Amino acid sequence: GGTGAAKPKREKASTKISFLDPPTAAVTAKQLFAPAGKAVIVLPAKTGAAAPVSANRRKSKKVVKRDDHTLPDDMHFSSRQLLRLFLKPKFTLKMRRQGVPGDDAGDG
Amino acid sequence: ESIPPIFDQAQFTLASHRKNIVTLYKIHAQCAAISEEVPGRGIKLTGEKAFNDAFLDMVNRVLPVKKGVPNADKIIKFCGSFVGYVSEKEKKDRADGEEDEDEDEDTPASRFVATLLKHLLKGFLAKDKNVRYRVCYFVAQMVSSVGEMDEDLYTTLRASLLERVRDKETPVRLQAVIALAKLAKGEEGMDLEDGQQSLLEVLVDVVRFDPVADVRRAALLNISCTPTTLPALLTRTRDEDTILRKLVYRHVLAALPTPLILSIAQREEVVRNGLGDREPAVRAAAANLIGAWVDAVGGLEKFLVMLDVSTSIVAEDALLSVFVTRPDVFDELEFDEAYWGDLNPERAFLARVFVDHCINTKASKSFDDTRLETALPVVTALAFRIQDAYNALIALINVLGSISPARDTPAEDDEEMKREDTEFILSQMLKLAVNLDYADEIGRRKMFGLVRDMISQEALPEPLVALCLDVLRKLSASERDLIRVVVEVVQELRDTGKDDDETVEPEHAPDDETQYGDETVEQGNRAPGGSRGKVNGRPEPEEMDDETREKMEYIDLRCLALCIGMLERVNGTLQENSSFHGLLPELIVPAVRSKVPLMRERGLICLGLCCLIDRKMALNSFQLFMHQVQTAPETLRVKVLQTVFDLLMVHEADILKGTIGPQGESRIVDFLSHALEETNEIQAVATEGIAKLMLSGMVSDENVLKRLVLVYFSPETADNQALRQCLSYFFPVYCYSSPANQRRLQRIFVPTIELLAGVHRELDQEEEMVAPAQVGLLLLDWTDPQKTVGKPGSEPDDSIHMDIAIDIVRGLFRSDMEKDDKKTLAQLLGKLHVPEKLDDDKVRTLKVLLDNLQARRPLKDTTARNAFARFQNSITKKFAEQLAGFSEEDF
Repeated sequence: GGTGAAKPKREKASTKISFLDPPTAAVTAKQLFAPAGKAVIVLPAKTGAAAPVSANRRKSKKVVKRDDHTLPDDMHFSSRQLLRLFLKPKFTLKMRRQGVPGDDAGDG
Repeated sequence: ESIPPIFDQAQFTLASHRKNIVTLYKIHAQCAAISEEVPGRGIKLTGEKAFNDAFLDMVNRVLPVKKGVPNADKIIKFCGSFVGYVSEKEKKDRADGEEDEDEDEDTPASRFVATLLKHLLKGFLAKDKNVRYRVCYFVAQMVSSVGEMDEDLYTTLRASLLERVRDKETPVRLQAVIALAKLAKGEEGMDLEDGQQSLLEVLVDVVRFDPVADVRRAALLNISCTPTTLPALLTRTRDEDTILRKLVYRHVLAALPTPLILSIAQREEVVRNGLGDREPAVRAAAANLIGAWVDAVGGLEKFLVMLDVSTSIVAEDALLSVFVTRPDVFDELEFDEAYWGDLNPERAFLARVFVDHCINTKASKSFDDTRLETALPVVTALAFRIQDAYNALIALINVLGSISPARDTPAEDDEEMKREDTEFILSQMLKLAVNLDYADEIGRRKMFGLVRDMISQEALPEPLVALCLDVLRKLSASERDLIRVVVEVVQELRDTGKDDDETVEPEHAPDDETQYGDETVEQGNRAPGGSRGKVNGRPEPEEMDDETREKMEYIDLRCLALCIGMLERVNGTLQENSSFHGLLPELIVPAVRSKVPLMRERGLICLGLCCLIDRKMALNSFQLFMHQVQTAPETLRVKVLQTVFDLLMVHEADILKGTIGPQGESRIVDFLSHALEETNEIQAVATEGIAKLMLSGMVSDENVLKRLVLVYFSPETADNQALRQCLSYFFPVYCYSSPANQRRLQRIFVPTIELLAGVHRELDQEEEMVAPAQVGLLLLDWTDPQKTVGKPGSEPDDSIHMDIAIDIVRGLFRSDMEKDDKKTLAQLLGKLHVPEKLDDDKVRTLKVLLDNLQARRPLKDTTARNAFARFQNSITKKFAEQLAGFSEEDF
């Protein structure tokens, strides 16, 4: 949820933490540490680091394919590739018909 | 008590921390002194308990504070420092030798730390994400100074952190990773339970798989680089995050004492990924690292040894990068007599790349012409060196050939290595020879004679053939001369082959059937092997003994390689080169029909290259190649398909007119489109070929464009990067280069989105594909008239997006369109480029359609309806003047 973006000014003023007041009910450990259902606070199995494997779960060899956040192999494709013959890469084609950018179009 | 004011002060400024820590420690010591005796149950530490309770109360007040509040951060740092101070003091006290105190016994300090940790651990599963974040933050700050911990507490802490590394909140994971990294340092060398993942392994997992770059970065910076972690760290050279990639070079790899820790393959990977990165900042970081390697290994020659120049494909890039990043190294290079007299692979490589670099940078102002001149050897001198190396190579080949084929003695390994080195040195010198100045006629003749001699020997290793041809091309006055020389050499080679054969028969005149370029070539090829006539006066292969046949084959393969190499280097027409014609029936046509796969492949490539420069042959052989596309074995099929595309690119009009008839284009296109369903490699070739045909305007069929778009987004091509990257380059170039091309894409817009949305709905769990809305945005971008490259004669067509709007609204009328697709399309309306001017007809059509849809078939989905209404309003408003007085009936 992204509702906190709109009010940076108010936060600045209220950042002081009150240490001098006597302990109030609001900060009792019990409330602070109110537990959550475990499923809610962890990432799904497909993402993130591997969950600890318990002994009996290891038997099911179902490997979850995880995204390892890498870029694909760069083929370094360039404009020149579209302007040359497969068999004779040393020669550049003369495009005869409509507009084709010149060699200087670059590959970005 | 006086604890709260200390915290109150500590939240504002770090400067007060030192003083406050000392004060707090004194309070702690005072408290520790207070205890009372409970009869029968020992001593009750009332003072300590009071201190701890008060302390925890302070901590609790920080826990619910959300991320980014500096006061809370300061308190956490304060507590971390305090724990550190307390632990230090305790250690010192022990060292001071209070003999009476047992090592294992609790102290006020250890009890305080344990209480604090246990308290924080209770928050690890809290529902409030701020609490989970703060407790992890606390732990991360104090964990390295905690000192000894009892085993149960350690186990709980470790397990709790491992859970939080998988927290769904990024800031929590980040702090957990930092804490774990500190804990991991202590775990090194410790015994783990069977099958238990070490903390380092967990971090390695995080660095690869955490979905958020910040967390991966934290892990990267905290993992020590060891042989076990290195492979995972190196995968990050291709991380999605630019900063992270940069960190790998700047931080992880730069910290290695020497690149020799990396394997050759790893060095290669580092160089390739780094210097090939799309981000200049990453390239710069990699270039700096590589530049530093020169010193780390002790000089440029050792640097080149480390990269293994003779097998590396990136050594050249690495060296060129060093030339740029290390001008000091570059300026020191000298190529004197002594240098040339003592060549090894590295030196030959260095000289060759140096010369290439000088020639490539010649245009730039800073280039010093004299450097190149002094570096280049005299032609005659280089010719002699090449000759020496060549003789040495042949001698080595003979030695190796005469000893048993199974080389297993060290001496033989040694010879083999020498052979490889010599061949490599020779290859570098030949590359260098292309760049020499051949004004000196004597030197020119010497080199020409030498290289001509080399290619006419069958012992010349095949990889050197092409390099020799490059030199020969440079030395030939014209293409014609080159062709003549190669034809001579081929004839000599084949004659020698025949001389060796005692059973040689008198020459027959070439069969009619084998006339080059004859259509019957195809039939001959298809005919079953039974009735093959004798070709070229040679005996039937069946009549030869194995050894002779093998030798003949070898020579023919070599001759074909020479022809291919030569044809790749010329562009004139064959008609002018009658000397070549004889080779067609003698060598090339029989090769095309050969049953030996390599022979056939070379024959076909050779024939294809001939066709490229000979229109008549192209017309006659086109069907043969088309046929081969379907029937040839897979490896060959790639080449044949490439040939078909090349022929179309060069002779398109004639091929269409001459052989296929009026429906030629669509038939060929159909045929080629089938290749889009084949293996990855063939798909990629077909894509690139079709892209070229479309870009040059030879293919203008919208259905083909549609196929390309579908193939591009299809989940089936997700692993075909050659195809994907070709198309991501092609579509913008194709569309922005001409409004007519944008028009084509406009016409297929709605049906294409619908098709892809259908594919997206049917997606398997394992498959990945961009959402239809994303597809739509890309197509809109490609059809954006504002992005066309303005050119005289083809003005941007401002109304393209408005035609898309009309298509979309027409689609929204349809009852057979999926509701989701309607929503996708309706939302795209808002992204359209609405031009300042639009002709009356289009404005009215659009207006009528919009109003009608709203009146008769209003959209059911709210989001879609709103998007639609916004677009409708904007059109009504923008063209109010044009629409004034217009009513539907008039229309």
